[in-house]
Amino acid sequence: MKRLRYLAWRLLVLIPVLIGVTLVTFGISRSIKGDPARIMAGDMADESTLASIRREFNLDKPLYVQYLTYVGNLTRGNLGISYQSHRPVSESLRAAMPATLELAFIAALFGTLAAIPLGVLAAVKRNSWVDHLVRVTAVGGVSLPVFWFGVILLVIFYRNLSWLPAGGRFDPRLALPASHTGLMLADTLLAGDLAGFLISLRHLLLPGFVLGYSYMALVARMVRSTMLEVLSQDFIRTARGKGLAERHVIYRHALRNAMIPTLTVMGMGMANLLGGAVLTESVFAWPGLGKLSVDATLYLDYPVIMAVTLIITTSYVVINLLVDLLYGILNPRVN
Amino acid sequence: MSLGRTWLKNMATLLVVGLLLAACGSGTKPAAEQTPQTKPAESTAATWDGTLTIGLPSNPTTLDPRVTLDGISRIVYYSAYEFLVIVKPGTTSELVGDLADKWSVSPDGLVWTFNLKSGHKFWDGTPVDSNAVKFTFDSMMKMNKGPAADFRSIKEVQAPDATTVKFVLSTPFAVFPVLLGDIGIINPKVMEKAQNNDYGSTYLATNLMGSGPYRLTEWKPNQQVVLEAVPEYWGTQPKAKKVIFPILTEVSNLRLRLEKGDLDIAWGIPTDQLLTMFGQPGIRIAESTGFDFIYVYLNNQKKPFDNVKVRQALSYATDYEVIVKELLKGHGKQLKTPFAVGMEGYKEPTFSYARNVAKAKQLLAEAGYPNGFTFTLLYASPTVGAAQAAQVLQANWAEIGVKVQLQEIAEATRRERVDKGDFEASMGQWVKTAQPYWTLNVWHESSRFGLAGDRSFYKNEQVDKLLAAASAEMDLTKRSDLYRQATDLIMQDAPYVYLYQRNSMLPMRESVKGHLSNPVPYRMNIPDLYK
Repeated sequence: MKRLRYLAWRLLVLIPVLIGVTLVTFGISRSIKGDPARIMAGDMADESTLASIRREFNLDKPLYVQYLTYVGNLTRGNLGISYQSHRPVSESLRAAMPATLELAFIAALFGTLAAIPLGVLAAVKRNSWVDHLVRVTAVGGVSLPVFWFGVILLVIFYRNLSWLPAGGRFDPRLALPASHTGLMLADTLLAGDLAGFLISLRHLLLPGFVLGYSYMALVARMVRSTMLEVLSQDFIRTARGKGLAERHVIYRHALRNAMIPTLTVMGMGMANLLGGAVLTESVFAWPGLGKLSVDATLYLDYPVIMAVTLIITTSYVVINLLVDLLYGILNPRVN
Repeated sequence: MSLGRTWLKNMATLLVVGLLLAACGSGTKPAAEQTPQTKPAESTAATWDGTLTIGLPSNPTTLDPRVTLDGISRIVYYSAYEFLVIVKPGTTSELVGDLADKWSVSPDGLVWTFNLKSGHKFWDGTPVDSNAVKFTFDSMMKMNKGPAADFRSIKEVQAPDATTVKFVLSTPFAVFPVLLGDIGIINPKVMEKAQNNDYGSTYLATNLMGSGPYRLTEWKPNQQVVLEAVPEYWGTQPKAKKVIFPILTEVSNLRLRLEKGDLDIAWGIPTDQLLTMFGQPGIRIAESTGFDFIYVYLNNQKKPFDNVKVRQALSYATDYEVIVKELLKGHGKQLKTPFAVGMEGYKEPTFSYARNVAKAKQLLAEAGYPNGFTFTLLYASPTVGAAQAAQVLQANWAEIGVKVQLQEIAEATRRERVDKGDFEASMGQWVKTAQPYWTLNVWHESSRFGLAGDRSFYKNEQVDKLLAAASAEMDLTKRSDLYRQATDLIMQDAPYVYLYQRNSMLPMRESVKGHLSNPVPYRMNIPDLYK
């Protein structure tokens, strides 16, 4: 019951947060010098054409009127029309969101599956060659620039070895699977298309690895440092003294406590995967939100900029909420 | 077993299983992608499956020819629509009829009459007649977006009979027919898809309703666009039955795929990378005279560029040879005058600037700047070559005491500042067709201050008169003479620093045949391409 009340309260708090985000994003986007009407109409357009476009997209209204109109439309589920494509923004998002979700999921899966054991191993084997290897690997993850690392992997695995494709979500020469969820892995499984599933998976491997590598590095370092702290505590000595198996001590006692602060980092990392995949998406031609937001920014496509910002903000808030709820499960004393 | 060994064993198992799964994920892929090999498998005439793959660097914005301005959208729709006239592939300015059989202009230059060929049909069997042409242009002018600005001189479009179209202009405009090559003729039945008085534009943003040899069968935004040959096409079937346009914004991805053979043609590879691809095995760069110009706007309304001697000094101080040799590696030429090489009616100019540092210093001293001055030169990174050229200019002009502060800003911001005249100097790029109208009239008429064309805010009444007379002169020889007279005056005024004219370069696999150059590169002759 307490948890439900807490959940309701956190969801309620989401509303003023989103309002604040729309206000800030609106203000920043409108402060960028540049005229969307001019971009849409072209250089040769005369003032009457520009005026007509401004009227069509409410760009001739005072800023506060534009903002209120936008928020009003938002409450009705209307995200506006893209200046670039002249199509509803929701269409662009429907196409881009599943791509980003799928990539982020694979990256998070890889990152988590690798990071936790690596972090534990490094902590348990402190100052050994294993520890050094893990730390060097982690440093690589936070320092290697994606646009370089991704291209190097493409050269090795695509151009030279021909093991993996160059990017995109599917082989362009084959018919795309019927879209039910927009998630290629899910859609191919739903259609019983194992070959298509494997093709989708192959296309996810390189971008998923590149995106997940930095996430893995972040989490592995955090797990290592929190594990070291926990392993030095008295209750661990007590557990060992009681004759518990080492695996039991590490995973049931130490890791469980080390995961509490690590969860925050994982949550932030996962939210970052959703919104920060711009470079990975560009290098691997992945048609996700990051790509969409870059194009929108260059084109001063305000409705798309606003929509993407809102989605990413909501993702951060929701993930934070889930992390907080997980705290309560991992450590009932928090409740 | 220790923790470490257990974990390593588990991870190794996972890795092996994952790689096996991945390697097995071949489905019905073509053999070339499955076989590990470093050399791409080139298809031969016997093995070609009739598919061409052409990489694009960005998403088409809208496929409606009445609205779009971007070249990427035009690459896609150019093979789906027909046009009244087009520039003959392989030439720079020879106009031939596409839908038009013949055309003429009235003696006063105000009425252009086009007679349509018979037998052309939209994909639903409806004939392409004068009503379709009238509908296309009328709706374009009513929507008043994008390309409509080029057609402001149209007063009325008439369709006196099914095969005759008349454009009544408000002023004579000699290059009017060339403009028609960008506006695909749309099936008027698009009005059945119209909503909110949009003349079907929302529908046509992501669909095609033309009479050309290809139609759109798939468009996944930011992924790919697919065209397929239209079985009902009235004319000769194209050689490629399917054309796939993967959207690849990252240049390295474009290039790797082209090198590997997964792309047949790649758009959007910047010049500095193209220059390193000459001689690469399996790749050919189709090169021809281009009308892609890099030049510098000098704000003629602001000090010190309101002084003609200052502008001349900068033109004399520029090392054009180094720019062409080092930045273009010879794949281009100095833009000696805005009446560029290859343009309709071109002749070698009587005067152009060549580097003369002594003369430049003398002119600066005469202008009252013996010790030079400082100014800010704007550029935006999307302008290909601008940053490199700006650095060369900074070094060149430093030799005469002119200190250049380079300022990189976002393209949208640069354009706004240029439009308002809120700048001292800016790098600029311009791509258009082979008519001198686009560089002479558009860049130099004082009625076009700002982004509309005269980005140096240059004004010379004599030049204005000559340019107005030239644009209305139907006789090519007389028109060219007028343009040359205007050019001579312009060069004395030096309102811009004219830098270079880049060759049109398009990289493709050697196996691709049938490509013909076009001065406007996005007008690719896709129906003629094969492997």
